[in-house]
Amino acid sequence: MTSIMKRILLIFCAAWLTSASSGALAAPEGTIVIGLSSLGAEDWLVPARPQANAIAIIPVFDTLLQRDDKTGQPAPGLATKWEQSKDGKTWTFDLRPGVKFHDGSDFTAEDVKFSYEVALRPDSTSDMKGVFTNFVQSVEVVSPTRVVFHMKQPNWEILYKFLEVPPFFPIVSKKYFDKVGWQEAGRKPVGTGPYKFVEHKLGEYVKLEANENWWKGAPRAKTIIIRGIPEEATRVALLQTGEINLAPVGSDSLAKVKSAGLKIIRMQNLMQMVVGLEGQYLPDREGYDPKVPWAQPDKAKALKVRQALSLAINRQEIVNKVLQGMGTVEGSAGIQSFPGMPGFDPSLKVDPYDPERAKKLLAEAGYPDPSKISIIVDSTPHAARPTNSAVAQAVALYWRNIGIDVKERTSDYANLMDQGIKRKLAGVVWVYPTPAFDEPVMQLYTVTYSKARTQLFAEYPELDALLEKTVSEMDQNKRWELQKETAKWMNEHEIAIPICYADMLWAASPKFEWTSLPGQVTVGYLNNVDTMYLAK
Amino acid sequence: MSRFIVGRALQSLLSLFVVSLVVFYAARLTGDPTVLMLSEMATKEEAAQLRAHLGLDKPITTQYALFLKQAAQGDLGESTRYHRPVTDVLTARFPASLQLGSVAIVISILIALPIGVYSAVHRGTALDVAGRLFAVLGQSLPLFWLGLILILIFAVWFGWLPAAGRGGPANFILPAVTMGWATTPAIMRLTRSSMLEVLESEYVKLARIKGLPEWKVVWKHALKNALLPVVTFSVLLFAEMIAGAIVTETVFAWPGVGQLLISSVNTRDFPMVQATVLLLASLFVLGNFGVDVLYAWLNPKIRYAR
Repeated sequence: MTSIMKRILLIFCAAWLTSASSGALAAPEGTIVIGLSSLGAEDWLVPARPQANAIAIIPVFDTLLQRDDKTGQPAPGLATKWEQSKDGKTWTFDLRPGVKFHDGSDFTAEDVKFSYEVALRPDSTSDMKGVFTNFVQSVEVVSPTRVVFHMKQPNWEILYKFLEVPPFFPIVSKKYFDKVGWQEAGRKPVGTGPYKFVEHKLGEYVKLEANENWWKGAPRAKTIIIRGIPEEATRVALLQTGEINLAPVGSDSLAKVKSAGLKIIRMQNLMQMVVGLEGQYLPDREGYDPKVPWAQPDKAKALKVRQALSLAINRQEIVNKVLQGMGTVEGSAGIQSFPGMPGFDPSLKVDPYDPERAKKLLAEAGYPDPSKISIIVDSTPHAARPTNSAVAQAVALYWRNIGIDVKERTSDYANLMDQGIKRKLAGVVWVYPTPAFDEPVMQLYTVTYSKARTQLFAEYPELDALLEKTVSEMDQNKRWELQKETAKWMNEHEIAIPICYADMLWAASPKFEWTSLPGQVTVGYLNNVDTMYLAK
Repeated sequence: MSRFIVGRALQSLLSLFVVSLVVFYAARLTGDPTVLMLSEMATKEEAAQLRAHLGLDKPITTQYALFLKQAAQGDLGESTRYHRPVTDVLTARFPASLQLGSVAIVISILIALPIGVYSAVHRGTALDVAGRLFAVLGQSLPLFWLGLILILIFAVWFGWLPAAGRGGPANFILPAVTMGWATTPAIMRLTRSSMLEVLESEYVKLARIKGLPEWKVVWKHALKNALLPVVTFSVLLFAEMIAGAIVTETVFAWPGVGQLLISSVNTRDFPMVQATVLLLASLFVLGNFGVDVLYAWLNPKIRYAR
């Protein structure tokens, strides 16, 4: 080969190698600005705080498990492998070696144990505190890359709490906390995630910068700025001016967003609108009122009233007109059941819209004159998913159409929750926008169980028994069948009225790209932030 | 004079004490803050432990006594939401309100004064009617709507100004105009009535008889004397503006104390609610105090009146 040919070959090889590797080694570039309705409590002392607190700093942390991008199912995160012992009382996690925190310290099993201790602080309001207190005996560091959770009794649920979304259990650095102290660690968080914390201005924004050494590969965008923009119309205006690139919007803004040439990102079936018929308490509760038609001692008549209320609602019209088509009625008959998720039973049918049959049922239940039934419909917006308010107002309208005396009110969300906890909402109806959980019983056991602190739907001994049986079932397949059985029981007894699934909408600038997780598993949180970028 | 000042100062302190008492008790009437601090999945035991940690299991009189003791040492408590001293949060947020309020009141005065003066000088004419119509419009247009319209026109359509958020000088314009719009009519009306009164006075008639140019009569002699009630009113309006800026702050994502107060009420962050209300009350009390002292200095009859 002549020297010229050798040179040409050398140049060709160099060019080929550069182009082949440029995709894999491409440095993060550009800035993405996200406008959320709120930055949350802006207290970053995770995991001593509820997962809702971490809303603006999710990209800073990793969790033991991630979610598969396509299915949303558990996938390796900081743990590469996990195993439950045969007796169900220990969970062993093999940890990913070579991972570093943003301050340069190594991630080890000590940090997992430390994070567990942070969640148990006396001032902790973490979602994990109750879980750890009630179910975890201890956490053992076997080696730098192996940690074991010893459970008080067999427990399957804890695995789902270690997923990236919702971020119940972000892993923090013991060395960092020891070095800077709790307060500083909470103000300037350090994790192992795709983005490093840079700056925070109270009430304004959080600024994050790419962690190019992230174990999964450098993220696409160099900088992420998350701003707090409470007013939706302002978020849309900022998208139009290009000052932000992504923001959550309601279905009311859909037409405006489309006409402005912005992108709509739809997270389908993120929540289920369920009408809660409050007052179905155990009879010995102080708040139980036997005069509430759907909770009266005559169970047969009470059921007819509940069925009538369900038949009076035009679900498809709610999806079309209230949600602007951003929802689905089909398949939504099971309370807390979502398509593709455990416990979903497609054979359960949604009640049709039949106001005449509704009136007939009311007459059979002893209410030939529906105006003798008085209902308070509370349309208080949910703190995180406010679409429920408009749905509640629509439900009130349908019930008025069949002659029921409906009074509407809007109260304070905290007050409503408070009254719910005290079981003092008899006669009140509100629409709860329940998100999907990895298994329905995880939600039902905490909000529809007579011994739980919170009560959202109803209390029945038979339901309690089903939930207790389900929660203690360690065999996954049997547990999923039990959840189908629970959904069927709730459907037959109409303890609450499922209306439809509703989507969560994000509006984005035309060049914004994002590979989000399947809508249902995200609960509306930012996720896969490492995949966000602005196309050229 | 010093006796007068001391008397007024003591009255101001008493007012603040009463405000602290009322807001302390009223906040606790809203319910249990742990309901929102904990997730729906929290247990009864967690809730009880948290209440004990926050001292909410103590009798309310004990809680208030503890609050007063700490407040006397400059400690207004820790925000249950932000988990940092409330003074830190207020230190971060109050300057934003102060800056916006200052710009808004200046804009308001700069617009209201000329209109008020012209209305008074040209009383009964089309200019006067136009000025008073402007005042009506100003008081009837909802700020929420005005703010969004300004964003639409100047940020979205023309792209001249940022749509929202705190930043450089350009970021102040739209929110300050929106905020100032609400107070401009009040200042304009006061300027007009004050000017009308002054223009009828003997020294103004004398100035005209002496042959002074009309602009000098109006702007140098009359306005100077008509300004006193306008300035004192503007001081009080400034305090009210900052306290009531929640709508402007929400529309323009301005991180002020108005939004802070509303979110603190919604999340039942009692220490934050108490501290923010006390701060805003202090603004009013200080404003009133300043106005009283100024008037007493200018008019000795006031300081000796019983």
